[in-house]
Amino acid sequence: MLGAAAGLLSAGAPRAQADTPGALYAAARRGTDGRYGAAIFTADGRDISSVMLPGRGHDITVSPVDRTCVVFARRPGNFAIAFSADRRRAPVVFTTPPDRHFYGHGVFSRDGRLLYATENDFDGARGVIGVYDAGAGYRRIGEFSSGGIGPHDLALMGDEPVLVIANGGLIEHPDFGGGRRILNPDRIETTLAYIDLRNGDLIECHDLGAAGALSLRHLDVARDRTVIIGAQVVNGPVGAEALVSKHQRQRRPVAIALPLGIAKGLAGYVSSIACDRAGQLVAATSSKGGCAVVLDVASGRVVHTHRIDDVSGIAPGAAPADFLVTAGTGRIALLTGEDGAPAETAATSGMWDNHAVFVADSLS
Amino acid sequence: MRRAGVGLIMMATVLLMSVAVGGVRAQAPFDHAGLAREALGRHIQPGYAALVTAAEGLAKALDGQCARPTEQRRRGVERAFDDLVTAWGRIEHIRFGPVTEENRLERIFFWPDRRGLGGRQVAQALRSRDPDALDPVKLAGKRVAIQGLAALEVALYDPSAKEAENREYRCAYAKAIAANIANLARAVLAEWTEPGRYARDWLHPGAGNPHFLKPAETTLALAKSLDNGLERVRDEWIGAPLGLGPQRRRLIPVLGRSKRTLIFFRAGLDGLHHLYTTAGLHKAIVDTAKAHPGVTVPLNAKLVRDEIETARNRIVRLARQGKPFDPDSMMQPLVAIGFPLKNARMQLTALLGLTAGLSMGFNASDGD
Repeated sequence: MLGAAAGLLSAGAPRAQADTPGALYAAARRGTDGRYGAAIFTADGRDISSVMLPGRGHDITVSPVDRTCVVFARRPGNFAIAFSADRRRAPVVFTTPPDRHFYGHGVFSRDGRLLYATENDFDGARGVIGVYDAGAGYRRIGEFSSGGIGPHDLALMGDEPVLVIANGGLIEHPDFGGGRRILNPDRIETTLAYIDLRNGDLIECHDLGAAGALSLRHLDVARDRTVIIGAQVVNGPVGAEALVSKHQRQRRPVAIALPLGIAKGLAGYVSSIACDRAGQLVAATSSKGGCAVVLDVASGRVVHTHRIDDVSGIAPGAAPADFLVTAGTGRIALLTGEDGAPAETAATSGMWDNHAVFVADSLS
Repeated sequence: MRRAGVGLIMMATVLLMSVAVGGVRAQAPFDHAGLAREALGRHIQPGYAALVTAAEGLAKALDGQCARPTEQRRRGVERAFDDLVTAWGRIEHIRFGPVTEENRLERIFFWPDRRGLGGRQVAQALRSRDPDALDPVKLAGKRVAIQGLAALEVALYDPSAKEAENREYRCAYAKAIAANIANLARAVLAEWTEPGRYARDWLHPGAGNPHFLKPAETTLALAKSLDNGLERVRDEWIGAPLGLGPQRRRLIPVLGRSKRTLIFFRAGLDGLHHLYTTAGLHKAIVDTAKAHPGVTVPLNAKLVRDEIETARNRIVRLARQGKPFDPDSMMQPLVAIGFPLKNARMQLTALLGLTAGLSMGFNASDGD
């Protein structure tokens, strides 16, 4: 948190009731002892299950079949851990091969058997999607090209055998700047790629026609299969760039025009993107701007916007139009009701990391 | 005495955290601009100037030793190498700005060498007696791993029997590396000193500034340098060769081949101490005390300094024994250095959150 983004979530505010009692979410975090971990938790901040991580985590993906959660290392980490709300099941740790690292995101196949993860072939300076067999201890069984450089977030296109990937376009290598230095600042080629999962073929690829300073990073897929993409400014001064775009297959991507104040409020940086349960609203957070913006997918209209210190993680809530947000300050809140005003549900001691996901309606 | 000290830290941390979490964020008159100025003039510029001087000194010492080797000149080279290791150790925690441009950081010191890449490339350069590697200008265009301190260490301290006959080439190569490091340090220093270059952005944050939009961002850069530096000393420099990393595998100690590991540890902690004290972080924090009645800001700020000094003094005691780094016999004292380093970081994070409005390290300052 920089500057004076005064949070609405002050500790003095009354605590809201959690949504569906027992709805479960998951996120990575840093504890007060400085160690990294990941947890499955309720909106009121109770841990249901947690794992320690050997380094900083990033996103979590949830198996659509048995709700197993896989937390990925943040780039350029190479570990991932599968764990679940059922603490009797031992966590499974797996890694990339030595010449790859994770980018922090992955997604299960519709049947939960395979796990696809964005990875860096750093000596080849190309993005790949690693394929892991969930039924065989997450053994890596292959890979295919991500259709670009620096793949970050990815998602399945509904029930089609198609993967959509945000290729951030940044060349990075673990030997340089801890794996986080941009080695091609003058030639960033960020793309949105669609891959046919039956054969790994690149079936569609788009750039956003934007200036070279943007990197596409996070995305989600709405009910009507509109892909909503969040970008970050990686180079140069920050203004009021169009950071949120939407795309439908076989068309050109369209930047969503936000009111100037809101566009500036994103501070050149979208941290996370998530659609609501009904797939009709989409929320974008900006930790740098300390704000969350909720939009109507079809019209691009701003439904509501909020200032929240160091907010980053956002997940669909248990009910349509609701979202759960997590912040680096340890706070958890629900955006509910017509105005979506953030109602704090917990102030935990950990620092919630970049992303949060919905896991299940209840423990059973 | 130590026990009382730790108790005090815990109490102080709890107090600070309760205030920070309470959301009461007073308008802290933290002097970001003053700190940026002090840190530039007292720490960053002198740090890189010392690196230029040390690298030039080594190049000069090698010049004499390469032409007419004597025992006295050899000792001069040893001392000059000590000076270069020390100068780099004292400023290597600055990992933003011009040193990160054009891969200068890795070109000055390619470490950790995760896959033994650098060692193999240096061996290849020595085997092939590449004449271009003897020219500092041409060397600067070659692979990053063969042009800095790590390569210099191999050239000077890894004389296998076969390569003993290669002495002249190795000496000339070492000299070219020293000159290259001097050139790199000079380029970084120029950015931090000459009008209209990086120092201007550093001193004038604002809209349109490509590096620093708000005054607090320069403080954040310094705070992250200190925090990451303390973490690196504890986990990468000390923890990794003791086998305390996540993989529980003992990694090669930094500059172990030349037996400079402890000198480098000390230089690193000296540099971080200097950044906290002389560069002005400590003072900038203490100067906000009046804005935070009820919190013992000066006491907490002093604790950070004391913890860094405790760690540094333990390294100094170890180094005085005159033995090279040894993970077995030095395990206990080295592990003990980790505690004050961790305390210093926790304390610093809480203090900067309160006094400078910085919450370090998490989403806003280090996203993905």
